[in-house]
Amino acid sequence: MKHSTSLEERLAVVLGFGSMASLAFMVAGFALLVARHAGAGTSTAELVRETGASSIGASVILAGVALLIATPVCRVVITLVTSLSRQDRVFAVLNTLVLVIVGAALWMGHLTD
Amino acid sequence: MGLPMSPLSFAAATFGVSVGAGTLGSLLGLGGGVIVVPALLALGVDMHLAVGAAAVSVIATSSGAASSYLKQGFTNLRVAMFLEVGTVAGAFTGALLSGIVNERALSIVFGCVLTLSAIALLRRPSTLRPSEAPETPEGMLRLTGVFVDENGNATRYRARRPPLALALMYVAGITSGLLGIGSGALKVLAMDLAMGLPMKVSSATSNLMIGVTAASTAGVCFMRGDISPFVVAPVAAGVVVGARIGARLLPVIPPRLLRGLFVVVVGVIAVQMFSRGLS
Repeated sequence: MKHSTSLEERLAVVLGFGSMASLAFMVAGFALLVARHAGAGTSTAELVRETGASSIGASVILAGVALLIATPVCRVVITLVTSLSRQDRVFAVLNTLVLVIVGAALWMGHLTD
Repeated sequence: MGLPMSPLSFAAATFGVSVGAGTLGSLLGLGGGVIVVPALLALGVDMHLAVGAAAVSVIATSSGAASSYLKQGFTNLRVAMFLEVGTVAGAFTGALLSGIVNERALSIVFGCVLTLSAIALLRRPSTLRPSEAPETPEGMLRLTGVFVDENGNATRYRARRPPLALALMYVAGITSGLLGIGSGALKVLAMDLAMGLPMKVSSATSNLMIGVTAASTAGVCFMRGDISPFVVAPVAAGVVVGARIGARLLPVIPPRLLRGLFVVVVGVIAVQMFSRGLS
């Protein structure tokens, strides 16, 4: 129980940091994006359709998105490492399967571009 | 573009809706995409960009809420780790089946399943005690936990029927992969009805699981360039704020109210599915 409590606390820190750090990136990037386009009078439609790192602000936002996507994956990695250290084979296998499947899905999505 | 709005007005509207989505999503164990996608479509955002933003919002809801629920002791980590194998495998299968399975028919079937499940949930006595756990956890999975209700009473519970729940998670993942919607509703239903977990534990545990399920979807959207920075920033900011609000409400909200709220949202999703299937 004591081990489980400390794992949960660690995961809470990782998830909390990931969400707040990515939020900070996105808020900062959004401010840069709006400031850059405010003077130019860019329409909402043009801003919405702009994908990719077309400006510093957009790049900062996308960095925040990447950090956010990585956060739950990091969570699974931590539980895998903890399962291995506790020799909990069943959950080590389960966590590994999750990572393999997520990796395969990302790889397939990349291939179908 | 649907509605003529200034950029800041658009951002404010998106942020406001996302706060609501994050609050509801974190309370009920859903990702919030059921609110975010229709709202963005109504604001004139293209479907593929709305889906990309929604996928990111699910991770934001999950991470923001799960952080609090883990500290509060609502999340059952072992149940989450066990079940998310089913859900990510199902999502992968669903993505493979995309283009083969009739999605309109599946939408109708999913709507029917949600409707029947909502009825079952309504009929489940609110005074039913969770499956009580033995003093010593049994078996290699050890899917037990302690739940402290809003009155401070602690109850040990045990997750029943793990194979059935895993199969339901697989089905939930397939629907997620095929229909492009989150499977949070089915996850909570499976944990509540099949495993007999307390409602708040089901919601909190679902919150943790949906993050990794959405990570692959969001990752694919990211690589394909289906993420609009201008859209995703206020959405993600809003759901993180909302998730924090929801996480503060869950410990004090009565289970009966939570269950009723969940049934209403499931009903809305069911209507969306029927509409999608019949259109």
